[in-house]
Amino acid sequence: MATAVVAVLIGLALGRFVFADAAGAPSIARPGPQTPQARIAALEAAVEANPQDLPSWQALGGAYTDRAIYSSDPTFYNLADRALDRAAELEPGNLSTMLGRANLSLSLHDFRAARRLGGRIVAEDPFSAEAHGVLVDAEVELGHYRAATRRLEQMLEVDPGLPALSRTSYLRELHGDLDGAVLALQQADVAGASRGPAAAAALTLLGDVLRKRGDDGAAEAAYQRALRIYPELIAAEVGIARLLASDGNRPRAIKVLTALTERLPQPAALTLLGELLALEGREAEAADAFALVEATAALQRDAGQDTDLEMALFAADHGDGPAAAVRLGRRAWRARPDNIYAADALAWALHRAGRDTEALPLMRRALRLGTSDALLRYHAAEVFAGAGRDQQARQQLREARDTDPWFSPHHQPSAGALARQLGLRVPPAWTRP
Amino acid sequence: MRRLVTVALAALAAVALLAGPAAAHPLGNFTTNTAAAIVVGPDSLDVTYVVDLAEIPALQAVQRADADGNDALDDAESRRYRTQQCVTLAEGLQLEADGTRMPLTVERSELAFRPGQAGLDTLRLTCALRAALPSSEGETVLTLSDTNLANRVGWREITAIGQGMTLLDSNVPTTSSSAQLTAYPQDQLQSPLDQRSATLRVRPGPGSEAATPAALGNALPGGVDRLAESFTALVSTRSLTPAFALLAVGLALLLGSLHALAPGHGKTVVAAYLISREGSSRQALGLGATVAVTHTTGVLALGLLLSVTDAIAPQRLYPLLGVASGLLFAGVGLLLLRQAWSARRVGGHGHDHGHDHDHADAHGHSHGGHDHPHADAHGHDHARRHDNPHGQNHADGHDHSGDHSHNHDRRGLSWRSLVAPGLAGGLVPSPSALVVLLGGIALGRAWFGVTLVMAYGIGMAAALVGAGYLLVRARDRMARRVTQHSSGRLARLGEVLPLVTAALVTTGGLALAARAMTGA
Repeated sequence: MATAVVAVLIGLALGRFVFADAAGAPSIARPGPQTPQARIAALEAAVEANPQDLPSWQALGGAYTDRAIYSSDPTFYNLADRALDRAAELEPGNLSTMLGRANLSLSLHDFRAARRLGGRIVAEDPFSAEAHGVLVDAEVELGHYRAATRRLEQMLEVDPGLPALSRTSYLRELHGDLDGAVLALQQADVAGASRGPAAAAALTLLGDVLRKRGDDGAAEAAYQRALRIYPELIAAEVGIARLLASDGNRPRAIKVLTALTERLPQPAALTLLGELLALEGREAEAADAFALVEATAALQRDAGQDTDLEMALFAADHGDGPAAAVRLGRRAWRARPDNIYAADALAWALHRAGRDTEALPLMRRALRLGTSDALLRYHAAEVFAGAGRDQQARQQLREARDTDPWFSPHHQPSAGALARQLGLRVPPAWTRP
Repeated sequence: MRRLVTVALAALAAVALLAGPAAAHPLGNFTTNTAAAIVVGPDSLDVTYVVDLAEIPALQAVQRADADGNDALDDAESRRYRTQQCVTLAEGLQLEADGTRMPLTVERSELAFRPGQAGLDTLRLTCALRAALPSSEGETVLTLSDTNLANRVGWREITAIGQGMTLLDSNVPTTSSSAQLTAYPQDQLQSPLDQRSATLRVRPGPGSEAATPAALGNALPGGVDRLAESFTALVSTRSLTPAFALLAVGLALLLGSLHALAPGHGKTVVAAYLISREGSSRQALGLGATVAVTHTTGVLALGLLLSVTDAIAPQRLYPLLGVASGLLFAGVGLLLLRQAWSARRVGGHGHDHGHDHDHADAHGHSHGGHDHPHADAHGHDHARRHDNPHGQNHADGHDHSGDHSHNHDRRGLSWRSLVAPGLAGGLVPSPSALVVLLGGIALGRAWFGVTLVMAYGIGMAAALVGAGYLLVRARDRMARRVTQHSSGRLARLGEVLPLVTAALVTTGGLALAARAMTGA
């Protein structure tokens, strides 16, 4: 779940989604809808034919970054880095190159570097919607939500298109306004702000928000539409698998996810697969899936990507255990001071380590925006209950139940147990083993 | 000797050039990469199909293959995995000759792991596949389409060469641009190659110019032993620490001696030669050294030859070398026979070495009162020296008048007389040594492969020398007994022994040649 959230986050962070058009590369012929591979191949051919082709190098840097995010394969970060280095050599101080670098920093989770670069671009070019987008994302990740909102307003003034609307949706979601979040994305959809694969990506985001709101039917429709536009969109397939699992169709969800991870072993999909397999009593296979998540994380670290937040939650639930989780959580919290999800991850790790009193203030920071997220609320309920604050625990658990009782196949059984303990009504989703 | 060294060095240099450094997967930690190296022969087509799995797919593969769930592949699991995978992959390769589907069968398979990024392993599966081709004097159109792993991201490569067949037309290159998935091009940012089908128009005739190491490996004759295969797998799996390198060299020695002890390697012939030549243990050592040098040079030279030219198909080369080796033995045997015959006619002299009872202090003693300043000159054959005044087996035409003073000539004689059987013994490069070498090359560890081949040759020589030494001892003991009881059957046996052994050498050599000719 955590990794899924982050995947969406990064998708948003780039603004251009995974199939972005060339950033600031007017000289590039605009091809129709293209797979990421085909796009990369075309750009590689262009720079090979003309190694001085600055716009193509810049676009290539962006395309590699997109590919890394799309596939979760960290190798492409190195390639993106090299392409951007080459572009910087050709023309030092070029704003488009700097923007590419800022986006790469964002996806490597170096948010301070991204904010610095975004600030420099905006100082020279106040009308760069993309630079504003970088700043919004960096501020959100660093936990400066008010600054992020201000930056978003500037971005909307410059270009009220899909990138800005998707960020609007996310900030609304963070502030507990799921309806508003859905609305922003529907606006983008209706306005036809984007066509082709980008529209498919936007539809996937819409599906995710609808699912979090518990609107499974509408969510599935959004995912299906996304897949009709772009059949290989893995995020949409993961979304459908989540719906299948919550629909009680666990074996089918497992089948879908197995096929999916065979082709592209994405951590979010693997985590979900492992959780479902464990619930089916297929422990050995679950362990295999989790081992793959850890291997991918090791490769990501190797490629310079900071995955502490995701891995803190993973370690707390499936991996190396509470002590490792606390260590990772602390690092995540230092990298994103005051980000609500970093606070949540550390608080959850501390809870698993039996240190609920330490977790309590962090959990309160995590809840400060009133975010409507069932997993976050469930974490909070456990922490409050562990610290003896039954009243607050009951309130948080009720919130989780009413937002999305199918929030996590892994946590649902324990959520049911906690609900019984706290004397709350237990929804059907939480009674199934 | 110097020439041998030169050839060996040239071979080493060529081998080093062939090998590329090991490289990460620039295409991604998630990629599944394949390379099919096609070798079209006159009546069969070989495909060396390599699957190179980057870190994540490699882990997935191990998880699937690990039946007992202990996170490690034991021998049985690994064998089952590579066998099953190769069968599946062979089915996924659709080969047609003039529109007729030709099934590919798995000849052998190999599984190796190499260290990748972040402490994870990458996996390399090699399937040697073969299909029979209808023999045709005219042109044939061959098509190969690779339907394996269609939806995986990665490098897809097909190469094709002819061996004894000319490729009139081909839409794929002859050499691998990734050194069979061991060194992906890194000098540029590059998307994966995506070659999934090959169409070749072929006709009998001279082959292509260059072969790839893997293609060579595939072209070896059958019977490469399991031991050598698993050894190669072992060498490729581990990182090369000094301790492990020593262990590997030790294992190569052992493998070589085991190979020499396997039936049909001219051992009996060499041993018989030693007996009939009344060689000493030191000569046995010299003979062994010659075998080791010849064999190592032979393997390296063959590696070099096959990598630079394709005029000769190794399948054809092997019988030729076998026949040459057998005939060389037979020739040596005939000479011995002649000498033995003459010795017998003159009589008596053949027993001189009966006095040479102690091999430990045998060096430098004098025969017939003259002094041997050269320690290695003592082992010459008195009988022959006295009774073969015409020097029929010595091209240098030195004096054979029986004069005891030509020490230097005798020394040369003794060395040269060793070279012929040594050459014969080491002439046929053992396929398993070649596999070890090619394994080293394919894994980017050419120098290590060369070292291993040398160790292999030394091990082989050691076994041959050991057997020879034991026989020499036995012969001496028997000869002593013969002199003690010079009457009776034993004495007569002692007299005919050189004849018998020389005959043995001759027939043994002929048998080896015949075996090589019939391709057994």
